[in-house]
Order: sequence, then C-alpha cells, then structure tokens
Amino acid sequence: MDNLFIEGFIAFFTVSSFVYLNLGLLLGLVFGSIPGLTVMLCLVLFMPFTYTMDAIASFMFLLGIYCSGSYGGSISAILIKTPGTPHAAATMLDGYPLARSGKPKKALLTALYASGFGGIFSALVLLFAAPLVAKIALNFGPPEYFILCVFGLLIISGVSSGNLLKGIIAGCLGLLLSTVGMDSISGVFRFTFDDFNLYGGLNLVIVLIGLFAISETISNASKYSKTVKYASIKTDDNKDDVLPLKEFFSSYLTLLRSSVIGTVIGCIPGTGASMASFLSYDTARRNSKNKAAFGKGSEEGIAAAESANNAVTGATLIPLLTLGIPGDAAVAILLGTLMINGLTPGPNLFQEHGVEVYAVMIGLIVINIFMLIQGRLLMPFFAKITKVDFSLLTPLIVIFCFAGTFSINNTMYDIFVAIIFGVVAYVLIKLDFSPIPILLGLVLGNLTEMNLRRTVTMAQGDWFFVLSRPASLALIAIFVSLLVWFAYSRLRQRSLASKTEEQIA
Amino acid sequence: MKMTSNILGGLLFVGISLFILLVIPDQVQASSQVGINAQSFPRWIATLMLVCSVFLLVNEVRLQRKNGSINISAFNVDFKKEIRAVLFIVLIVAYALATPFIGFLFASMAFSALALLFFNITNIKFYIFLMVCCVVVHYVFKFLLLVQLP
Amino acid sequence: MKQCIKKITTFISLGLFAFSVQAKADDWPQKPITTVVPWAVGGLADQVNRAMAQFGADEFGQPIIPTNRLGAGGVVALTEYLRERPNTTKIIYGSEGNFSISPKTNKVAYKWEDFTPIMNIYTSSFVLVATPDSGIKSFEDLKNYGAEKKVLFGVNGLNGTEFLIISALLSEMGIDYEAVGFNGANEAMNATIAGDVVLAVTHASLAKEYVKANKLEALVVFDEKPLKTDVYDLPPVTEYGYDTWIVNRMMMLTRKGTDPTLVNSIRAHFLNILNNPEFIAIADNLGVNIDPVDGDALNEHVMTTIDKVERFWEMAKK
Repeated sequence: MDNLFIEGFIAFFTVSSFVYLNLGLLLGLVFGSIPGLTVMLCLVLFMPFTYTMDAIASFMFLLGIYCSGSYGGSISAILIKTPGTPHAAATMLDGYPLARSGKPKKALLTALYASGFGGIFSALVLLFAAPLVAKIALNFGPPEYFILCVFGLLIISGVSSGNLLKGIIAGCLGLLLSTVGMDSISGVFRFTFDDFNLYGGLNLVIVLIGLFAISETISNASKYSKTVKYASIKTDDNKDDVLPLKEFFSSYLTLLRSSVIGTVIGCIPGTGASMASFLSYDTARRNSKNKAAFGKGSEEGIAAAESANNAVTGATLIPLLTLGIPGDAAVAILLGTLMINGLTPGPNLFQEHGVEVYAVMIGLIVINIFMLIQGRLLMPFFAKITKVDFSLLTPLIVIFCFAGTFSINNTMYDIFVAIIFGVVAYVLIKLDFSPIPILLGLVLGNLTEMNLRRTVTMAQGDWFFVLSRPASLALIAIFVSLLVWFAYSRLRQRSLASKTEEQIA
Repeated sequence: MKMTSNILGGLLFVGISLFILLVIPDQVQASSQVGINAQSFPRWIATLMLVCSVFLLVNEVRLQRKNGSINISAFNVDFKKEIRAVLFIVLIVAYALATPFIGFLFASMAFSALALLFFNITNIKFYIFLMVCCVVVHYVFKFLLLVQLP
Repeated sequence: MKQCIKKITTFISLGLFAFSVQAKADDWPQKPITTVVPWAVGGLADQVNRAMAQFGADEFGQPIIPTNRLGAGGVVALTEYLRERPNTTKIIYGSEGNFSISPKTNKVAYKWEDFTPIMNIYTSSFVLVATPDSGIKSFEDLKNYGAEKKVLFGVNGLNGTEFLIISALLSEMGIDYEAVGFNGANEAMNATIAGDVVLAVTHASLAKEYVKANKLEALVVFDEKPLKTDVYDLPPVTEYGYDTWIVNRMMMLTRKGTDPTLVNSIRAHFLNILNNPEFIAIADNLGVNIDPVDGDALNEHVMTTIDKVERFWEMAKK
C-alpha cells in the first residue's frame, strides 16, 4: 500500500495533471453555474478530447469538471435564485436570502468553502477507506433503498415552509410526475397520453429549469419597475459581506455531519447528490440552535447543503473504483474513460492498476484544493452579476434556458415542457405552494416506487423478509432513533420556551 | 367565506387528483404481476393527494367559521402585475414558437428586443449588448458545444 | 385552377426531390452528420459511437456529431426519426428488441420496414450468471437447484430481451421462477453480486471482470456457438437442447427510401473508420465485438428475432 501510494503520487505529480485539472475545473464551473448548461453536457462534450491524453490526465480533466460543476450550481442558485443543478436547490433555500440581504459574497464563500470541505473529506474517505465502504454499499439492496427513500421523503415536512399539508400535496405532485413515461419494471407506458415525447418520462433538468428559472423570470417580469435591480439584491458594497475562516469553521459540527451524510449517500449507487444535500440540509436544520434562521439566509444551511453535495463527488468514486459500479450518469462517463484507457473498472482494478487508482485518488484531493483557489479568484466576477441590470439578465436567462434545454434532447418539445412547468410553478407559488417538494418528489419518486416493487417481489409474501436483512434492520434502527431524538429535542425546546414565557409573565 | 390561497389550492388539487384517479385505468396498463403493479403507486399517491387537499379545504373552512373571516386576508390578485406576467409568458411562448421558423439566432434577437421594450428600456446600449450576447450564445452552442440549434 | 396549381407544385417538388437524390448520392453529406444513440449517455453504444465520430471529418469531409435521444429504451428516438426524409444526414442506431419486443408491450408508431439498415456495428451475447452464495457453478447445478427451489432472477426490465430469453429457458427447463426488474443490466448484475437475486442475464463484456474475480459464476451463453475468451469458456444453451437465445446487435439505420448507392457509400466510409487502428485500440479496450455485417444480414437478424420473440413470449407466459 505504501509503495503504491508513493508511486501513485509520482504518477499524478506531472505538469499535465495540473494543467488539465485546472482546465476541467474552469469548464465545470462555467457549465455548472449557467442555468441550462449541465455537467453532463460538459462531460460528454469534452470526453473525446481525452482520447489522446493518458489515463491520469484525462481522469483529472473530467474529475475537475465533475467536482466544480457540482459547486458551480450553487452560484446561480445564490445570485439569481435559479439552481444550476438539481442539488443546488437546497443551497438556494438559504443562499438566495443571504445574498438578497446584501451579502452575496458571504453566501458564495460559504458555499465554496463548504464544497471544498465536503470534497476533501470524501476524497480522504476514498483514499483510506474505499474497500471497507464499498462492502457496506454493496449490502444496499431494494429494501434498503426503499427505507432510505421513505426517510428522504420525510424531508418534505422540513421544506414545506409553514403549511405541512401543502408541502405533502406538492410532494405528491412531484411523485406523480416521476411516474410519467415507461415503467422501467413492466415496460408499460404511463400517463403518456399517446404522445411519444412522453414515453421517456420527464427529464429532471428540464423540469428544474421550468420550476425555478422560467418561473423566476416570469415573477420578476411581473414585479419589474425601473428602480429595482435583479432579484432586488442590494448592490452597494457591504462591509459585512466577508467571511472570516473562523466564522466559517464555527459550524464545524454541521460541516462534518453533512460531509458524512454526503459520503454515505454518495457511495450508494443511484441515490445522487440531490438526496444528499436535502437530507443534510434537513438534518442541520433540526439540529441547529438557530432553527429560525433557516430559510432566511442561514450560513449553516448553505454549508450543510453544499458540503454534502460535494462530498458525494468523492464518494461516488468508491463503488466505481472498487466494484466498477457507476453511481450516477456523470460517473458512467468517467467509467467509459477508464475503459477507453484500458483500465477496466471492476473488482480487479486495484490489483491490476494500483498506481493509476492511487494517482486518481490523490489527484481528487488536489482537485478540491484547486477548486477552492479558482473559486476564490473568480468570486468577485460572479458577485458582479448582482449588479447587472434586471432587464438584461431576465432575457439572457431565458435564452440560456432555451439553448440549454434544447441541448439535452435536441427537440423543441422540451422547451415547451420547461415553459409549462414555469407557468405551473408561477401559479403554485402564488397559491403558497413551494416548488421544492415537487423537485424532491420527482427526484425520489422512481427510486421509491421501483424499490418498493422489487422488495415486494423479493419478499414473496414473507413479511419478515425485510427484518431478516441486517442492513435493513440497521437502517431502520438509525432512522427510528433519529426520529425519536428530533421529537425529544422539539419537546424539550417547547417546554423551555413555555418556562421562559412563565418567567416573563 | 373568503377565497384564500388554501381554498383555491385545495380545490385545484382536488381536481387534479380526481382527474389522475380517473385516467389511471386508461393511461396505465396493469401488468399481470402479482402484488404491486404499475397502477398501484400512482393510485396511492393520487389518493394521498386527494385526502390532503380535502383536509386543507376542511381545515380552512373550519378556521374561517371559528375565527370569523375578518383577520384572514383573501387571495388577492394584483391585476396590473398579473397582466405583466401573462404578457411575459406570451412573449416566451412566441419566442419558442418562432424559433423553428426563423432560427434560434433571430428568434433570440427578436425576443431580447421585445423583452427590453417590455421593460421600457430606451438605452440603445442595452439593445446592442443583448444582440451581441445572442450572437455569442448562438455561436458557442452551435460551433463549440455542437448543439444543432434550429 | 386550384387543382392545376396543386399538380404543378407536386410536379415541381417531385422533380426537385429527384434532383436532390441524384445530387446527394454524389456529394453527401452537405452538412454535418448527426448520429443518434437512443440509449444512455456513457453506455457501451454511446462510447462506441463517440469514438467513431472522431474520425468523421477525415472520412466524410464533414464532422460527425454524436447525440443521444433517450426514452423508453429507444422507442422515443426511433419514433421521432420517422420525421426524417430519405437521404437524411441523421443516422440512428437501433437494436432488434426495438422492433420485436417493444411493439409487443406498447403501441409503437414505427416498424422495421420504416428503416433501411446500413450495417451492424457490434454484436454482444448474453450470459447467464449466478451469485456464488447459491452454490450454482454450472448448468447442471442450476437444474438441481431449480428442481427444489423457486429461482429469483434479476433482469433489465420485465419486457426486455434478457427477461424473455431467461424466462423462456427456465420455463422449458420446468423451473419455477420469479423475476425482479431492474433499471439497466448493471443494476441487475449488482443485485446478483450482492446475493439479492440468484441469477441474472447480462452482457458478456459487462460481467467479465466479476467472473474473473469470482464475484459471479458464469453458467451458459445465450447463443448457438460457445463463448471462449481469456475469461470465459461457456457452452451455448443449444448444447443442452434449448434454442432460447437472441444475440444483441447495435444496428446503424437510416430512413427507408434512401438511395441504395448512398447506403453503400456510407457503409464503406464507416467500414474505414472501423478499420482505423486508433479506433480498433479503443474498441479493444471497451471489450466490444465489432461485427460489421451488412444490411441483408440485419434484415434476416430482425426477422428471425421477431419470430423468436413471438415463440418465447408464449413460453414465458406459462
């Protein structure tokens, strides 16, 4: 191991690695931050360039895109209330209010540092504990996925801002939308109304663009008056708009907890960064001493969401490098790159190509460090977006959304889908429904339903089947104890509150 | 009785969930599998949605009866605002409809110009800036990102 | 008068059309070629297509732009492709399942006759793998196991080729089974590695590393000839007297009515790409079996597959 570690470090430490990883980081940042452009598009577009590079350089390049793309989504979420990636929707919940209160730089820096923290944390887990974590991840079968999804859906109660019933209704809408298209188990079409464009279901990114970007432009257009700047962020330079490291690390517990959540979710294939960031956001909110600040510009909220979704980046490489299992669509492209370079992923990869694997794992840590540097350098430019006039930004966002939506499937149909979701979201927001539960339902719907159905088939009518699986039992135990803990802390807070009221009286 | 957002929202989703429950037999073929089939999950979720919407309505009516409806603000529509919203939606839809005919570049240019007019912008620099942006976006997508825009 | 104008315009457009066919056969393509992979970004077919696209500009004088149009295992892309005119610069891929199985589960708007096959790119055989926990190490072990217990297997969807060939096989063997549908061959295989299901059907190239590392036991190949590579030494199902096999092909298609000389010319160009040493190196690393048979062979392949699906469907029902 020591030998491989050193050899891997030497193999990584070349000029080309550094050049390509920085190039990748820059590209990822651009693609992640512009609504409509996705990390996937960036990866497939630049993948052919790696054919002429060696394995390590090409992996550094693509990993750079992957990592900074994951952070990049938060920039537009914070500045223009339009998440560039689905998981940045959790960052938006607090990032946008904080930016709006005149502290866009503080919000951006919190997101950047938290992303770097989460990324480095998971890269270290990958380096030191990959085989062990992979073993745990492999124990995740349909019943465990289902339990995890149910817990994920409980987050809806935390993000339904005020009215729980409305949150559940919006969540149901999202779940129902996830059933549109071909049922991946039985192969029948559902709710397609004989329109072949719907056979494949609704694309998450397209719905996201509609729900958040288009609806936001409509709402801005309705509010426009000559004196308002975009999204009404105060543009005068605010002296408080800084983030001392000490202040950032004061929420170290949240950072650590979120990174662990991100790493755990990330190493389970098929779950994804959105689940991680929302789960971590919700956990942070429940555990916070300053619960009331959540949703109104809490730095802790931003840090929780961002550290979790970037912790996913390193963790998804665990099943990829140890078992050859791609955790999400972006990682599937990384898998292809490995194969093209003759490094066939699978259980033999560590034995046959140990040096390259160690080089990649060490490289991932360096990538995250450079992501912090690049993000810090580019931050002043991003913060300037808040000074661009509203009347310029609104049409530009629509144009980008159009081009980006079109790029996903090369069809005009998707653009109309995005517009419809934009209008629907605009109306629902007027009626005090939040689009966040819709997004959550859409993200988790398929995973929940399919794994429930698989579990039922596997159980064969034996209801103790789920309890006979150690992994399921462990998960249920964790979640039940968490729920009890939340209930207990809420009760205690209530009694404390009533006591203070009595004292005041 | 006041038309609050809860009443309107509740009614809307009662309608939606009933519609979904109604079209399930037609839109989803039940696979012959034992246990849960392709219809089950949508049916449960639509039922849950229906129950929650009814609850939302009942709760609201009860609250209004109990407390009187004086303190509750009705859902009010600022027509001036909403007309702007509708106009902007029409503008976006027109942009999407025009794209296949006149091409993405020209449709975007027309859209930007109309959007600026919509915002009452008279500064010619704004128009020039957006036109340049349209050309740049078009070329980046078409020749760098190889997206075959119409 | 109106009719007269109509006639004239039809005539002119027909004439223009004929002219364009003539012109196109000589200097096709006039604009970049788009290739449409109707399956996942980053999947095997996508990788192969993107690798081929690299050589487009040298070969055709126009770049090849690789795209993906996902949805319903190819149905969306193939339906959308019906809008294309003959001699289009858009080329699409399809597999036999799109023309044999998809129409059985759902209404689909296209049929095989709407397309003209250009050539095949690769061929892949399915292998039957078992989890090592089950103790099944050979086809005979499976027979014994199945005689006592119900077999739980994982496949990519309950309407795919994989499901059909394994359920037909198990039915013929008289084994009681239950299928768990997964989203992709990868997921089904992972469930077998973890021991959640006993058997899975997957692509030989996909399972290779796991078989090598003894995480999976390969039992038999769904083909008529044995599979012998550095990792596999598998008998075909036909050796045991079953004909329940279908091989998977990645077929390059264009719209029906395309000029036959043009089809031949496209094929010749792509053959050059497939024979390019740089491409061969990439294909080797991907572990694909490049098998560029011509359109006639593909016609036959699809026709026999449609027959087989018809038969296996009845067998699997039992």
